[in-house]
Amino acid sequence: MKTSPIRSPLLQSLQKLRRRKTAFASLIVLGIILVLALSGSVLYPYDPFVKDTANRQMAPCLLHLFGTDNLGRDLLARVLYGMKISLSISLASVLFALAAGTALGVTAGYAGGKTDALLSLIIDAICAFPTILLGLLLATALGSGARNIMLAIGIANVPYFARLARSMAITIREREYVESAVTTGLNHFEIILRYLLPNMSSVIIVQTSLSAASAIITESTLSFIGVGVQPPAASLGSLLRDGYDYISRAPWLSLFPGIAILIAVIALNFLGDGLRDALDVKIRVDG
Amino acid sequence: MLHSILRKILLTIPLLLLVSVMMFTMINLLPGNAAMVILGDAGGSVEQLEQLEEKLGLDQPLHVQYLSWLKRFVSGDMGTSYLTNQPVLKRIQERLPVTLELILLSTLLAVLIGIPAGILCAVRRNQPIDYLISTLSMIGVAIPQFWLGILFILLFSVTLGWIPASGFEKFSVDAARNLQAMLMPSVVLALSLSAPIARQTRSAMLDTLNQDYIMTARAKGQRDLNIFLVHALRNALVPVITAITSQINSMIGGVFVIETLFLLPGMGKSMVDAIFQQDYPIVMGIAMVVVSCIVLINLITDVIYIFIDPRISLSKR
Repeated sequence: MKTSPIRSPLLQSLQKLRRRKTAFASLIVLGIILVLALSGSVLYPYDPFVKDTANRQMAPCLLHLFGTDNLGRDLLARVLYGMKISLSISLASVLFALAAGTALGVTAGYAGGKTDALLSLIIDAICAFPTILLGLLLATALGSGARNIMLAIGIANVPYFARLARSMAITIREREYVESAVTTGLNHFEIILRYLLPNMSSVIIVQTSLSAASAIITESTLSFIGVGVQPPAASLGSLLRDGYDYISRAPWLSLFPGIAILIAVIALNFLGDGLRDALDVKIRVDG
Repeated sequence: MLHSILRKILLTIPLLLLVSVMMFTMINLLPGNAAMVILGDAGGSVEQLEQLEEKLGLDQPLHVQYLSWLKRFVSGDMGTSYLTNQPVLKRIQERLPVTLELILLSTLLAVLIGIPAGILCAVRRNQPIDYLISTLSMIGVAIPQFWLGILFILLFSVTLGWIPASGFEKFSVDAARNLQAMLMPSVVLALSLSAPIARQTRSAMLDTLNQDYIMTARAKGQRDLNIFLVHALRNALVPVITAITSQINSMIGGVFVIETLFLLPGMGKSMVDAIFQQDYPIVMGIAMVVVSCIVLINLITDVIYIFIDPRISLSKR
């Protein structure tokens, strides 16, 4: 008797993902970006902080592929470093939103009634703040800096996860297997852990990828305004802010960090779209 | 229906209250700051500081401060700027027209670009023009608005020297100069907003074009253009309106950074300046106005949806 091999869901998804060429390509692009950004000066010999006053504002050439900035620092090294910071902020904020949002949404959807009404009100209230405004306000409250915009972007992304998790929890709660689980005497916590969370994981994964993309844009915007990453640290957004002062003499400072943002965001968006197909997720993406 | 609309309207009151509490807490988290800002860098004696704090009510507990702020806000008093002593309301009245002009111009442009582009994609589905526009709109979604602005400045101001990157004048004073200063900012915002509109129009048009009544119209021998404009577009409009309203949050964020980049004296620039100057009454006033507008627009959208499709259950939204 021939039995079909049982493949894990993860493996199946990966194979489906591979069939979607653009999504797979973007996964590879993201991998390359990660390796380059994390390897630091191992793969690329220049240090992002070493000033070289003899070679200030050098146009892109073979020695300095992206040119140098006003202090003679190699721009490619700085872009790679900035990418590391931007990706870390984006990832950390989205993970925060994932944890807080899912917890909020599941609680609201599973508990229902007054708890749901109250939590939904809080979610709606957060949603009324444009992300940039929230970032500016938190910068007022806690001061500028990477940690605080991470928090701001994280909080601003909470509603997306919370609303997804809430509506999923409401749907799944009514399913028969959950009802039968209740009759077998499982407590609420176990039901949420065993039935609710695994069933909404694919939706959440897709949202994570899309949120990470928008988080990179928000981070760069806040850093460009000046409430984000502060020197000597640099993100892609703060590199653009520094470069803008020299836009007529050294336009490359305004170009390359932006291109880096664009590539990272497009790759993450493609990955999200591909994951949506691969995991067969139907979610409304609005905003 | 009336019941659900009323419920929706009544729910905005606790929502706005909660929003204002959150904002007030964030802005006033650092006590004593305000008095120091007013006294300036030179600073004052400890007595002066305490006197001023007492005068401003800053020595009160936070909830007392909030309640007195709320009482004044409801009666139309938003406080005065710490730096210029100008009433916040007056500052907002000055700056609001600039921001509204920017939003109106860019939304109008975005619709003029996005809807035809989306229709073109749907009509010429899977042809080169569809791929081109789809690629452009994909980039449009992924590009940070401020960087698109920088690219515009780099190309049109620095390299070509066609338009200066700043130099705002009121419309009533010098209309030509006003429009010139508004041109680049609104095109930048419009391009970024038109991308999701084009995407939404494309998919909504493709959905409607597959409907039976379009087939019927075709079978009756109506011209293609007529079918597109009269039948398909009208039905595709609802998702397009959704696309526009769902962009409000990112639109406002875009306005903030674009005003800052192009030095337009609107609400966004005013707010960013006030944050760096620690001028909290201005920050609070503008933030409250912006967030209230967003809540109101969402409310209006919800009510419109109820009229369009009464089946939409309000509890779900």
